[in-house]
Amino acid sequence: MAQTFAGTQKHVPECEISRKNSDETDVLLSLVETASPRKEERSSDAYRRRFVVKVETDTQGSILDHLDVHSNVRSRGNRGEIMTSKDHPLVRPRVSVSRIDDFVVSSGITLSKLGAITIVSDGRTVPIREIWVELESIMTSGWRGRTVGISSEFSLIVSGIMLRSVVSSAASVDSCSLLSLPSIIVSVTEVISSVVMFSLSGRLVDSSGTFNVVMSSMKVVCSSRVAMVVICSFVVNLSSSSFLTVDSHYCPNCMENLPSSEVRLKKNKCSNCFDCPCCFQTLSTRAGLAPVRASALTEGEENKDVKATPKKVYYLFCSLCRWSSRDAGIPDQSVATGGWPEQENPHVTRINALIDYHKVLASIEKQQCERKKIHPKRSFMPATMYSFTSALVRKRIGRPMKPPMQSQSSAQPVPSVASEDVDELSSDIFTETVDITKITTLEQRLQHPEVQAEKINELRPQHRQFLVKRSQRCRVCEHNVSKSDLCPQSTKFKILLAAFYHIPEVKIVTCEPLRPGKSSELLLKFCNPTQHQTQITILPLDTSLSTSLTEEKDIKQEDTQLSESSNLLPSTVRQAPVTEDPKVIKVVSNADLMLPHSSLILPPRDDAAEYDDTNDNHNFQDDPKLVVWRKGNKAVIRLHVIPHDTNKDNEDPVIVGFVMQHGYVNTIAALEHKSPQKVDVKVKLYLTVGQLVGET
Amino acid sequence: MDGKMSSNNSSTYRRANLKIAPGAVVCEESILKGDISIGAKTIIHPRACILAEAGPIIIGEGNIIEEMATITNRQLPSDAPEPVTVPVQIIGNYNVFETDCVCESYKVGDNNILEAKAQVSREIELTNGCVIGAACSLTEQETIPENTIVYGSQCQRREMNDKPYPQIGQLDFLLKVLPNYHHFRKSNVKSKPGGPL
Repeated sequence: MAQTFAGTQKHVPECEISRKNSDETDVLLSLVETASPRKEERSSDAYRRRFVVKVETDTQGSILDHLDVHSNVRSRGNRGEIMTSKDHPLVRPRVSVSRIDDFVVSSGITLSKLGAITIVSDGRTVPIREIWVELESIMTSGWRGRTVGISSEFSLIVSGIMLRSVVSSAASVDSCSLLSLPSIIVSVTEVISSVVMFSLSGRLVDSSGTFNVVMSSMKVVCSSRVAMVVICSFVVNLSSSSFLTVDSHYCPNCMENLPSSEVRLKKNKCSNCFDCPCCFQTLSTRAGLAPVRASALTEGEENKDVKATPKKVYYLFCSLCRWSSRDAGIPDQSVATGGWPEQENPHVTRINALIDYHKVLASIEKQQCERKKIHPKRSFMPATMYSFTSALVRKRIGRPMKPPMQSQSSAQPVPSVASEDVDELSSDIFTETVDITKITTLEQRLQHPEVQAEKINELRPQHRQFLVKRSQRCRVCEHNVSKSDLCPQSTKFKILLAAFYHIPEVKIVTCEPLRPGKSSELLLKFCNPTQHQTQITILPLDTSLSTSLTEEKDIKQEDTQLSESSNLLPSTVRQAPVTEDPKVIKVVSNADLMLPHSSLILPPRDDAAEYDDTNDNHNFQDDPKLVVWRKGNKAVIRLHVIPHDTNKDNEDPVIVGFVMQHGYVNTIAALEHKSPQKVDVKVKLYLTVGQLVGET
Repeated sequence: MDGKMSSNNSSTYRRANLKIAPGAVVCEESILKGDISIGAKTIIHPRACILAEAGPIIIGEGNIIEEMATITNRQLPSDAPEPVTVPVQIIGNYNVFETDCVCESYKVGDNNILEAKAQVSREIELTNGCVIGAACSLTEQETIPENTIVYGSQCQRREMNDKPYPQIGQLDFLLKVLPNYHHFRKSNVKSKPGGPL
């Protein structure tokens, strides 16, 4: 029996009391605090933030008659509107709620401390079983159809008390700032009988106890020449650590686009298109005339006009290896589209039994998980933000939607048994000559693992597999960095934030023959891809990158491939669907670089200048020792490399490393900061400049 | 002027050895060298190259030899033993030699297809109904069994169910179209009475 009392007042979403049976009462209480926005945020059209504390207890009595939520936090002014029992329709008697939290929206969210919660029922203090703290922040401000959101969650069990916190925020951005709460560490500081004191301290960029919101927009990077490098432009973070999500499934042949639920039903295969079982190319449908005998049959049976036009039949044909469905003995079809016989999987009953069994297992495990631990990650806040239904609340606090079903152990399928009895080989296996053209290859068999036909004429056309389009998100701020167009025909990107467009391109022009201990000249070409002038400084390799804006990058060889690595923010608690771990750089430099004393200024990219023959050098006061050549947004500089003496006999290529510092103008963050933000970005570069030549 | 004269001379010289059956379409721009006989209804595109270096080449009926295709009766390597008889290259009926294929095979049967850029070297005998796929090459001495297809970058082989259909439609089309745009070498052999159609 569950009752739901939807709040009537504006900021009271809901309070739910649910009672499982007579001697156990789960009391769920939602408290809502609406903090008013800060001055600059008040100007936005709509701003709302909600802080929910839910308490669940086991009480003997049926009525919750007292609930105290004390605050032990120094209230910082009357910024928040505090809901008290008076506002609450349900827990009217003696519920007092004091201010739980002060939270202030600044560039981030500060959640310093929450209060203590006492629950008194029937005059007794009752033990608290679980507490959830949920923080949601919503900001809607005339946004233009773009929603960005982030959520993060975790739980801790201390002294049998589970404290769970869900921090989530969804925000839509137009011109305003705030959005994400990347992670929160919750620690239970004290457990005194029924009083739980807990505090929330944020840890993100630093561990100063504040949430420095790392929001931003980010950019990535992808280009044919630069490896996937993600750049998050707020906390400019260059890394390839992003996670991939599947956007859409489509058939590469007929370009059909299907929702993922349907794709699963179809086992990731297109129902219309077939692959050649022989050479794995796509089969095409060919029209042919029916064999004479068949047409004679139809003549006799059907109308006269059929006789006039010979009947058309269709068969599948591979244009590469000339396999056809006639080879396999599949009867021709009278319709061009399909009707092809499906190949029966011989193990279908066994597989279904196993699938069913594992479904049961999965549901049991899910129930257990929901009871104990983390919610499944919610990537975005649902649209039903303001209207909690009782089911939603149950789900959100991790209770199963329905009472758990008894595990069906009876469904366990019969285990497979290994058998030693193998059919005798027929004696002609030793006498018959093997005709290799009649036997399928390993590849052909493994292409259809369920059947694994041995003879070539047992091969059957197979449905074509779907391909997927993937999008990539930044691990830190969950912004999309690359997202392709949903339409399968289109090869364009909706969002493509590739480092290629933001980080100066470095190319090795020439390098003199390298000799151990001798200086060789290395010419590097820098190209500024951005719309802003940038200053490039070459720093020693051991320069600290630990500014707030950190990144590393790794360049290999003349093709200027940027592979990556990253200096990620501690994202301790987050979980990403598919995460590429930041790769560790194992490159060791084995040569010294004579660093230049001056830096290099590159003018912004100007597309028109490509067609302009006038050699405009912008009159930069270049150090002639450093800058060899300059045109437009490109410049060649001269460096000197001295390979170490130690690797004389070494076959390894000479690798030289340095840190490239370049100015980066963050135009996207400028949405929040009014003026474009200028940062210096340091990137570690390793150049493989070549092999040592023997001493002469 | 001089060059043209000499080329004319050489072509008249060649024509002495060139036997073209009536109904064959041999474009003027094709390159034909040596002793070559061409059967009826065979179509030789401009810039197709047939070189009878080591001995005569006999081409049957209804073949299509596309531009840049090369059929060579190649001179034996100098270190090879002197052959007892003159090596003759025989090409059967209704074969298709697609663009830029090279056929040095001494014996080609009927209904074979050499796809674009295919290569078949001398020691190979193509029987009937074989398909040598695009860019596949056969170099080692062997006799290719009937209805074999060689395909793919690994030169995989498969036996086809049926031989490829003769390109009758394409032949008729070319017979109709080519005369509109090209000059032909005239046939110089009377059709043999009672010969195969």
